[in-house]
Amino acid sequence: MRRLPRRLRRQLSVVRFRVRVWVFRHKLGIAPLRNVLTDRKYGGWSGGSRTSTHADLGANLFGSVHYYELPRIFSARNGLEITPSDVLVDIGCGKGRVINWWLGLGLGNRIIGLEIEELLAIEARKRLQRYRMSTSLPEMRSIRCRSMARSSGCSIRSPSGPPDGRGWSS
Amino acid sequence: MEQLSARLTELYGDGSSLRLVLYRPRHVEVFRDDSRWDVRLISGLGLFYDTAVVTPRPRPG
Repeated sequence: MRRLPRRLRRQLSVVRFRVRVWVFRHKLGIAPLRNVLTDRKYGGWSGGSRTSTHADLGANLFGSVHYYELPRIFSARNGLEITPSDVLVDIGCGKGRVINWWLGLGLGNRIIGLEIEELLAIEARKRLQRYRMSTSLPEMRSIRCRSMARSSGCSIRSPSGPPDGRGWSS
Repeated sequence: MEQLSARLTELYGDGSSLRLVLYRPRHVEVFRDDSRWDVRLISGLGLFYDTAVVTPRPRPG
């Protein structure tokens, strides 16, 4: 085999190093432990991945985010600092890990989760309702988006009332 | 995603303060191809992410 140019070898070693860091963080390091502990605080495991039953509507594989990634996203550097008037909507919230993180920030913002998978939506709503009842957190509605791609609107379900059918209203 | 993009444009595409965070490259592409949205990529989140912040462009007039 021909010897690779020095520049290419250096690039390959950088890629190898990044892969090792990624594996350490995601599989062996503090990130999984933090996920478990934070999920536990909010009523149960919110991670994992599974295939979507709505692939025909363009829905992807359900997969959860790591908590350590979220402060990097919602930072002033990215122009995404959360202000008191913001309504926070997680489109495709899955089991609600991002919602957990938002709640953990102690903000008074309105938080909305949208999930096309009915079972996941029910699971997240049940888990977070229980949490809300015990701690008086900010108002939180669970929205189930039905056939997002088929119709242009969404059906909204609130724990405190019937679907209002107004679509994306906040 | 195309339907979502269209619906969001209809509701918030008039220069509102909507900020949309997208994780998947395929989703980013949908908004990048639409001139009504500004797409700004965020880097440094890991190996397999292509995260972007999407904001509506103000409509002329």
